[in-house]
Amino acid sequence: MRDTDTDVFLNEEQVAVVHQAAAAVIDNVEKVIVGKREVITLILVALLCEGHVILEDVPGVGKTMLAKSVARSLACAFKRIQFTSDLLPADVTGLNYFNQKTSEFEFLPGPIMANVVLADEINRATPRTQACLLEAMEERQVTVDGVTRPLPRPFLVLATQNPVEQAGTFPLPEAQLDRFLLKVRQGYPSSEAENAIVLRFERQNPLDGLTPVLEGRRLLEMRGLCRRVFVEGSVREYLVNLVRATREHQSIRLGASPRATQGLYNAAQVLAAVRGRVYALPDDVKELAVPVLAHRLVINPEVRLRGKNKDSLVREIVDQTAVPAE
Amino acid sequence: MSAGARPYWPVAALRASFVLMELCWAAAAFISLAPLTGLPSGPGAPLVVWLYLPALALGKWNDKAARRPRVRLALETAGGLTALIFILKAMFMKDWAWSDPGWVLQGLPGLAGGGMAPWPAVLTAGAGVLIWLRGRQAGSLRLDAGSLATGFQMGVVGLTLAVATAALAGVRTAPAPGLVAGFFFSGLAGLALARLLDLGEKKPGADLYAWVAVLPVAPILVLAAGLAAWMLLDRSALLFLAQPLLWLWDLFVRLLDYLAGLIEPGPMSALPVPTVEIEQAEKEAFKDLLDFGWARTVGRFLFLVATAVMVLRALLRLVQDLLRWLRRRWDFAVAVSVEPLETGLLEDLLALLAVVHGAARRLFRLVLGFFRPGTNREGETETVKLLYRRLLRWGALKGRPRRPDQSPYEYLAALGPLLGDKAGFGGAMTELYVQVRYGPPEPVATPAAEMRRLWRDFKKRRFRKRKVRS
Repeated sequence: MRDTDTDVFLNEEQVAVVHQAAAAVIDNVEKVIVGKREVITLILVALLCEGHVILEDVPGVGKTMLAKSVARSLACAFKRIQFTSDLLPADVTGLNYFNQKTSEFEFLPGPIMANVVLADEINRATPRTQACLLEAMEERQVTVDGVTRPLPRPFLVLATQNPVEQAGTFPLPEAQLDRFLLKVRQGYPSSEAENAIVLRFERQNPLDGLTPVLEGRRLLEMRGLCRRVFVEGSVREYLVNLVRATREHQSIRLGASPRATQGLYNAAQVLAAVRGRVYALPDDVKELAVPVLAHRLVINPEVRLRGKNKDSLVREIVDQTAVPAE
Repeated sequence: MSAGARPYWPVAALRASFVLMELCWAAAAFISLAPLTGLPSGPGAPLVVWLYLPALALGKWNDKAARRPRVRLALETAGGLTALIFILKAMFMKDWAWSDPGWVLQGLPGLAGGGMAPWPAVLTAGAGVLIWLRGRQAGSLRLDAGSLATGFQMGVVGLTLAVATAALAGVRTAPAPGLVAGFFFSGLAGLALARLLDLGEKKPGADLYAWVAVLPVAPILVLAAGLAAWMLLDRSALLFLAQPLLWLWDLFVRLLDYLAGLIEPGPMSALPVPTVEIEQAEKEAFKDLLDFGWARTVGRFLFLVATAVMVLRALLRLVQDLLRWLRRRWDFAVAVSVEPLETGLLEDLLALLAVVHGAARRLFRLVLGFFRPGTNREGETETVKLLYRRLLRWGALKGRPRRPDQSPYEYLAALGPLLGDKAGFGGAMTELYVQVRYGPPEPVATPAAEMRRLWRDFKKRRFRKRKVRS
């Protein structure tokens, strides 16, 4: 029984290509970002799924450094947008300006016209500016003065939110967060990792010496291969049951959408390929459940009073859902 | 049931009723079979039943002392043999007196020349061994409703077998009715007490089997109801019952009169003597009541009905427990718990049928494989799954069953400390199972043969380890 839309499943040689390429990118990024292999893997999964990532973390943990390292490893263009309350949509997408020399309007592309875009503190911008970015993320194109311009490929948005300073911000509603494939927390490094960071950055910035290990177009080929990873019927049902369970949980007011199901499915396929397997496992689904599903949920307010949060609820659902096995 | 959390006396009463129940059914069974053995009649015959008590005491003493298994076995064997020899001597020796210490040192009477016949002695010794073992087992039992019910079941089955064997052999002697009655009523009392003690830890109304406590009270309730009905129909009974009250009232009035006489001195009258005089005609009417003839009939009927219900319940519970044990054996569970009767038996029968069906299907595929060699992909997959289930069963029997939310790799990690030097085989089996279970269909592969080899090595490694230990 075929479980994917393609006619042929991925074979060992093809998945080895994906696995080696992914390992090369991850190892390259780890030259700069220490002790966060899981986070780097999730970013790569999002890239290969053509999804976007929201990074919620305190300042100074290396979010910008992470985005820059990923972009450098893929020989991709990187742009950073610092969102503030006075940022306009045109500051994101670009605008037409009148060139007095040529007496014509010329398009000045905005920072969104890059392969890897770091939207720093997206919750500080007004909802109007946020909507502009989110629309571009969804459609992968921008329209300025009636002219539509496609965004480059690959295209990854790493949006950040500061969980500490919420005054004067416009937090993204859950309906908008649903457009992000993953929500990742980088977290503080461990003691050993922090020691390594200090030593690594002692003489020079390792980011300066980072060289690309994978071209962007190769990434697009890998995307096609990843979609051919075999997903057995019971694993697919397990995945669907997990998502459906979020809609039936008594502590969750709004569960995950079918977009989340599709996102989790694609992410499980990519993760299997990155790990060097031609088939996805329930373990892949379990590993991705919290990053993919948690941020999409709307939980009842009284649940927080009991010390639970979205992550713990998703983990609870995973623990209560039977894995297809003997 | 924790003795430390409850008052002592109910626990002591529970243990006493359990021991009494066991002694009664063992003695009744022994008496039923005694005529078959040719044992001499007399008080010595049931003495072998008393082996139960020292076995029970020795069992409890050994458990508390936590001795090594070989020391415990030696102590119990020596104690049991000594007790058995003394009892045999007391039963079969002639011309001895308890006051003469010399009988302890005398040997057992010879087999010839007026001594005991071999078969009675052998059968008596066999019965003594069984009773000793039962007492030893009871010494380590945790007394609660479950253990009492099990003990009651054993008593019913033991009695039934003994009576049936005696009846088949043409023996007319019935087992001592008093002992049988003592078994039933001490068992019922113990069950009621255990159930009431257990109810103290559960929500009220959770017990569906309150009839165990109600049944012993039912005959008394019926008697009281009959008496009440009779009293309403027959006025003379009221008078009969009221006579003591009338005498008390008369006494009270006379006492008041006496006290009044102290104030106003006058002749004192003596306190009355109870004069409950019943007319002769009414005496005849009360004859049946005083004889309790009708109550005996009702009581006998209730006793027979209750006995039949208890026997049926005990037998059904035996079958139920057996089916559950079989089901859990296949489901790799370690503990056996008792569940309500209403749905458990049907579920167990269906699960047993499912197991038989699965086995038949595998056998069919195996046979089919001989006639259709080559690609038997389904059979290969099923073989790998079957062998992986054996690994799961091994883990469950070691006390680490797979949770439903655990993936195969997570379960392998959980088994890690238990696997020891078999970790390599366990990992390879898991890897192969994962490939077969979740991977795409492969046109060329023989996972079944590889899985069989891994399972053989897995088992061998265990046997090898046992050899090293000895």
